[in-house]
Amino acid sequence: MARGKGVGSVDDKISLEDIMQGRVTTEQVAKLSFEEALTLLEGVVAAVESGSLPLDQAIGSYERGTHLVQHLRALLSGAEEKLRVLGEE
Amino acid sequence: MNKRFNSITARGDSIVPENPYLSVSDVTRLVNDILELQFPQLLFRGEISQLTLAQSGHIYFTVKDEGAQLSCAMWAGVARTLAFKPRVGMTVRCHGRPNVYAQTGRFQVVVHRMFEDGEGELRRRFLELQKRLESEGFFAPERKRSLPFLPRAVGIVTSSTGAVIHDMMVKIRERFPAMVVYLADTRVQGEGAASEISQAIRRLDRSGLVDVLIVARGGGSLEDLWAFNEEEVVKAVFACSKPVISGVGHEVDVTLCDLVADVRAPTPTAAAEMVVPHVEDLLFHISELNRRLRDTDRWYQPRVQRVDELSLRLKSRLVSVSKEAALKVKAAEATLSRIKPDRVIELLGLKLLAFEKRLSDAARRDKRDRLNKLEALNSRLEALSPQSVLNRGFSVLYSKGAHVRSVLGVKRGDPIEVRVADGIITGVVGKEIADG
Repeated sequence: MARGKGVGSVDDKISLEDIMQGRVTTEQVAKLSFEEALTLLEGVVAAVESGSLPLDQAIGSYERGTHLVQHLRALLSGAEEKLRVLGEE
Repeated sequence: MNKRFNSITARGDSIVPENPYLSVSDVTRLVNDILELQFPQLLFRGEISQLTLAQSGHIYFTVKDEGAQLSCAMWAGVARTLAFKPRVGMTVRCHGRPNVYAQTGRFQVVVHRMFEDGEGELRRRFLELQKRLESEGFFAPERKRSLPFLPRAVGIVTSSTGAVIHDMMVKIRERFPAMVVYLADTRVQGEGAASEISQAIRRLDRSGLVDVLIVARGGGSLEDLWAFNEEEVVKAVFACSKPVISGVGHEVDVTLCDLVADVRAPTPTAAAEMVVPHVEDLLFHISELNRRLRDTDRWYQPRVQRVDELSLRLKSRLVSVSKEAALKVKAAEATLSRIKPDRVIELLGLKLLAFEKRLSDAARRDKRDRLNKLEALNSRLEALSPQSVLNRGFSVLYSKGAHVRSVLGVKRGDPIEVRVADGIITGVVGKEIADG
């Protein structure tokens, strides 16, 4: 099934370009929605793998890619009971 | 089996009873026994034609069809649990036990369950509503939204009691343990359910807490699921700003809620499965990306290899260049070594001699030629000498110191001198006679 854009992302979108140019802080990465982070990570991996990046950019992208991986894993962790009953208005 | 019934069969066996006549009460009891035995449960369907709601809470009514009618009674305890208000003209399905009411001798059915037999009617209403809402664009495929890849939280509209919410939670837990679920508890059938469901949808939507909604209910008859066919619910789903999954009934049950929802799940559990991705799949995908990212074989090592390769090529090029040079030197050396210096000198000497000879020959030839030329020139010069002319017998005439070349150069009486080979003869001009 097709899945669309996730809701609740940060307003100032971070682009793949930002990631590769090193214009992204760890804090900004931490605010990314799962889907955004995943899309960026996929882009970073593809770019790094292409081998067309200058080496310093490739290494920088690699580092920020690992930040994205950490963030994504953090979003998926947690197992507490999370059923909440929405009260009457 | 009971005694009185046995007594009848006994009579059939020609046992003569003391009294062959039964009391009226006995007849009634006997008939009731037979009815009870034969019809422990009677299911029938018909239209309510008379209806009396007694003070006691009991309901007395008649159910009829074209050819017959049945008196029915429903005790207050059952009547209170009815999901609908029975009305005259309504078609109902009844579960009951037949008996004869002893006091009046009237055959009746004591109904202990009754359903509004909406099937036909409901189906008609369903199709009518479906047609109208469809023409109004409620079910248009182009307005279907796709589900969020991973919602921050899921809203579920269903009953908080029963297996449905439990099964859905199990499925969600199983797929994505960290998912937050908000439940908006509603009744899912009967009077007022549609309105509760609509309100629950709006409440979840307005809360802003969830990215996607599931409207769910377990399987049931068309009548049980009817709330999900109400226009009110269809409109609430349509107006919801978040994507809605409908998981109502079993796969075969289609409700208008299913048709208006962005995604229709065949069952509530299937809806739960659709609403969140499997965390293991995501983790695997991330691990895979991470592995690719860390796989320097794919992006770093090739560069190292390229450097190595270039370096090797450079080295080998240098070696081949120097080898070439060495070869050239060797070849030159070989050439040189083939040459014997003595012989060279000898050859050179011979060449030199030959050259010298050619030079001296040439010089000699040249000298002779020049001498010959000189001789020739000299004789030609000599031939031109006046003396030689005089020697050959010619003479030259001078007068007054000048060479006389014409008769006009002298006059009579002019002194003249004649130069001949061996001296001069003087004289005087006697007569000058011009030629012609």
